[in-house]
Amino acid sequence: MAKLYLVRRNLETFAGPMTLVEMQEAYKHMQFGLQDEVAGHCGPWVTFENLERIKKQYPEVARIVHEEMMAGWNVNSDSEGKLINEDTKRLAIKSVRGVSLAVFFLVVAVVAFIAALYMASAGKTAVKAKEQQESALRPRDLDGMLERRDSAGFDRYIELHRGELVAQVSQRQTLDEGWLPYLRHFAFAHEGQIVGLNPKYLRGSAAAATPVDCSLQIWRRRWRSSSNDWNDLLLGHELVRAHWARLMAWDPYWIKRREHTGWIGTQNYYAACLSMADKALTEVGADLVKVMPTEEWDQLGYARLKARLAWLQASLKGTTVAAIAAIPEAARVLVNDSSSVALWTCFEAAADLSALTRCRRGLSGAKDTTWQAYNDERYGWNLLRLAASTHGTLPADMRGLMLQLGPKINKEDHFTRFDYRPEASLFLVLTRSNIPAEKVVEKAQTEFPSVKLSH
Amino acid sequence: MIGATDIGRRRKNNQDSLYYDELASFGMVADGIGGRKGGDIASSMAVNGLRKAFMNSDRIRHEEVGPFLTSSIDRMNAEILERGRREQEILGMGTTLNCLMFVGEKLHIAHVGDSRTYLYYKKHLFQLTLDHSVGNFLERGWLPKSAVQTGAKEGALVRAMGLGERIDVDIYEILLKPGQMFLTCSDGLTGMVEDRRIAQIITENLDQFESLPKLLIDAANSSGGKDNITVLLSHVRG
Repeated sequence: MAKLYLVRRNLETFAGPMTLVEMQEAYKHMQFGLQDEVAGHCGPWVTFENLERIKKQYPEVARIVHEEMMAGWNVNSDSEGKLINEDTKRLAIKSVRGVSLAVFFLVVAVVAFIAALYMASAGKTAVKAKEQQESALRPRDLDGMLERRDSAGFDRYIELHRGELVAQVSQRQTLDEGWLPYLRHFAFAHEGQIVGLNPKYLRGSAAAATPVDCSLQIWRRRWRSSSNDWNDLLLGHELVRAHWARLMAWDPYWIKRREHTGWIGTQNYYAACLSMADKALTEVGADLVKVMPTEEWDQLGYARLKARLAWLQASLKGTTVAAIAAIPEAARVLVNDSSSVALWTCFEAAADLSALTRCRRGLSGAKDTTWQAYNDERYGWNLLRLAASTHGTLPADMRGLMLQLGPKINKEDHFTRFDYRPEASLFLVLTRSNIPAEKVVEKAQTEFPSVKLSH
Repeated sequence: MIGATDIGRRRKNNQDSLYYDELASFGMVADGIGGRKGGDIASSMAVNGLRKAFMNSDRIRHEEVGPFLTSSIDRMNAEILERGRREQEILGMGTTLNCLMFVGEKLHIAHVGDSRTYLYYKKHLFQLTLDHSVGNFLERGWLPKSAVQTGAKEGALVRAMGLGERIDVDIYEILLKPGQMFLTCSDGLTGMVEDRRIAQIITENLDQFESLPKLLIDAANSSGGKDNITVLLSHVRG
């Protein structure tokens, strides 16, 4: 039976198991690259570019690496050296004419050897200089550019060093440090991706419930492939299990309460994702309008989606919106609208209990118990938001409503998968306590230091 | 899918946890961190928490598997830490986790710690997951030598549930082919039985799939059974 090998790409996906011949073919079809790893039966993982170790562990793979993968990279191998020596030996035992020919070749070989030595030392110097240049790259070089708002200079810098930065980030395997804040800033100022960088690094470790890839390209695909499902969510038929639908249900206050490390300034992955989704939806809208009348494509729910995205982005930017009247122009579509996203926006825009109660009247139209329960939960989180910002003890009507909702409150939003444990805990304590709300929040804050519960 | 867990020959209790549901194509192995009080609690919290999250979720699509696994593990990690803070006698408990989800034509593996998942295919055995150990992290340059305490063992864990507020979970995915077999196990097996011997046992007993977990556990116990042993096998049939 032929020996099989498995290739591991990016420490995430695999190609194979496959034979040597299949591996050669797979490489030609760019199924993996030099930076990926190979393992044989019960053997260790070795990266293809580590030729020395490949030779030691999997000598039969080394041949392919040399012939196929490193061709064109000007990489020398020992085997070439051996061939030259053998040829020289054969020449040496020929006739006198042969001997003079051998002497000639010997002289050429010596000259070539000296030249090679010179070139090697020059090469080493070049490598050293490159290493020095690499080690001279410092994230703080970019801080000045950001302070001066020199985005052209910032972009130039990242583009110039992209390869080195991507390699450094991928090698460190950390998700929030070093160059990552800058790479994220660069990526989401453009198309939400960096060539050669796995999107998981752009997302980082904090946003576990979000899509791994929030690039413009992926969002275009998500919107295009889902247009027939938009109304299922918007009209309350189904909590559609897809990233675009979950994004619509994101709770801006939940996001604002969380810490977002590894980002520059007030940026975070949620805001970046929303911005890419919005850009992509605009593009998809522009395409739709070419193929069908405006009224028709708008019936798909386009305007409502755009309005919800506008609302979410505006509320994440930190502008405290006291009433729905203050929401961006595009989001006015949601005023007096009966869609699910209009209801959620209404909850989130409510500045006091009476406004929130008015929004809740929309709940009576909910189609089934799943929707009713989900909307009740969202109402509950906004009730908590208002309760947490109350000065003094909670008004009786507010406490009464919280008591009613208590059993319906879950520790996790099962749709967006946002973790509401700190909020659920605060909800419980606020409902039961008679001391001023600000004191309760202060105490709860010590239990969950990384979540800003007063927001 | 078939699995079994065993206390081994030296330990007083079994800190490993195992769960699998063949119909749902979902299974996991967790190994409570040795020497720490409450390792059994941590491993069962991880396994039960993930099981509940899976049961409560609707059908999960491909692109949602990663976010589902990472967010669920993240939450369980927080719960393990929280319980540890509440109950002083189990403060610092932790666990490894290897969780397998078969969705469509792919297997997704969520991995934290040094429990392992292997692929067995046509008499070949490949370790799919990378142990989150000090030795591996040093070798790959992910951990500066200065960050490692003097005397720290190479096998000491760098990542596990319950070790810190933040948890980096490796998510692997592999395309399924008929004939593949996946072996997920705690280090009670791999610490006692060489990979080649594991491959040999599987090859020699392929026709007795149901008894393979026991055969592998027996091999670990015959070699000393120094730790708890848990084995989960998943076979992809044509």
